[in-house]
Amino acid sequence: MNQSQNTIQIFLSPSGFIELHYEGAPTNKEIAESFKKLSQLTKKQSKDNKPILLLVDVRNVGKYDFLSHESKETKLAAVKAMKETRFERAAIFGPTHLQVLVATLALVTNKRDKVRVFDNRILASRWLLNG
Amino acid sequence: VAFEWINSVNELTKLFENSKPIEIPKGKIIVFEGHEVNKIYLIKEGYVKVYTVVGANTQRILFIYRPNDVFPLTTILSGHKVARFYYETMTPTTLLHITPRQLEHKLLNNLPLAEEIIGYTSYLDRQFLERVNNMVSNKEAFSKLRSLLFFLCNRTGTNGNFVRLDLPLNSSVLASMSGITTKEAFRLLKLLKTEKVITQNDGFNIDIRKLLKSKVA
Repeated sequence: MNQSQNTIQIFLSPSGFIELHYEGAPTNKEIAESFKKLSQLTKKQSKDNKPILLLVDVRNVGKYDFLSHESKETKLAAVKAMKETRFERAAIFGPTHLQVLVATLALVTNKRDKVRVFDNRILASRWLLNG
Repeated sequence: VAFEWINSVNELTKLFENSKPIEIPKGKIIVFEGHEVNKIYLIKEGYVKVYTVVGANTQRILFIYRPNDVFPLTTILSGHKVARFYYETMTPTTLLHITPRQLEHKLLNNLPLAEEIIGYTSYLDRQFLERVNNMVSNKEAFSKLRSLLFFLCNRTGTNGNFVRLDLPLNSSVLASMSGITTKEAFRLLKLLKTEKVITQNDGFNIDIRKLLKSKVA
C-alpha cells in the first residue's frame, strides 16, 4: 500500500502554542480532520485556562491549484474553521501566495485582528507572544 | 493563457466602479519601494512597470501591469505591508483606486470575491515567478531577450501569430528589462528586424512563429 506523502501534524509546543504543520498536498478530508483535532486541543487549552494561540506552518505545502473545485472546498472548510474555532491569535507563516490566501479568508471571516501572516517563524512567534 | 482577466468584468473590477479616474503622465512613480501601501489601483488605460534599482541610473524591470490589472494586491494581503518594488507608468495612464479599508469592507462575508482575489494573485504570482526564473536561468543575451519578448507578448500584446505591442520600446528599455547591455540589445534588435521577426512601423510588431524559430546570436 502506498504511503501518503502528505502530513499534517498538530501538537502543543513548549511555548504553549497549538502548532499546525501542513506538508505536501493534503486532501480535503485530511484538512477537515486536522480542524477537528484542532478543536479538541483548543477545548483542552480553554479548560486549562490557557490562551489559545495558533502557530501554523505552511512552508512545505506543495503546489496548489487555487482555481480547482477541490481548492474551493478547502477554502470553505478553512472559512468554517476560522469562524467556529475559538482562539486569541493565529499566526501563519509560509510563502507569499499562501499568506495572501489566509489573509484574504481572514478578512472574509472578520478575523483580521486575530489572524496575521508572516514570512518566518520567529516573526510569527513574536506576534503570538506579544500581540 | 489559462486564466484571462483582460476585458472580463468581474467582482474585483466592480469594486472600483465609484472611483474617480486619475490621469497620470508617462514616467511617474505611483508606488515607491519601502513605502507603506495605502491605495489599491486598477489600470483603466496604459501600462505600469514594476522594477527594482540595481545601480546608478539602472533599473531591472520585473513585471508589467496592463489595463484591467489591479496592484499591489499581494503587498496589501501578505505580511509585507510595504512595497518591495517601484511602480511607474510606462505610458500616459488612467487609474482608479480604492483604499485597503474599502477592500476589507467588501471582502467581509464575501467568499466569491475572496476566491477571485486569491485566483488572480496566484495567476500574477505564477507569471512573476516565471519571469524572474527566466531572467536568472537564461545565460545568453539572445535567450534573455527572446524570453522577454514572449513575456511582453503575453502580458501586453494582442493575440495571434503577429503580436503588436503598444509599449514605448527601444534598445535601452529592452536592455533594462532583459538584463543585457544596451549595445547587445541594439545588435540583437537589428538582427531580429533583418530577419523580419520584428517590424517597427506603427508600433512594435512581433512574428511569434519566426521568433520561436529564430536562432539569432
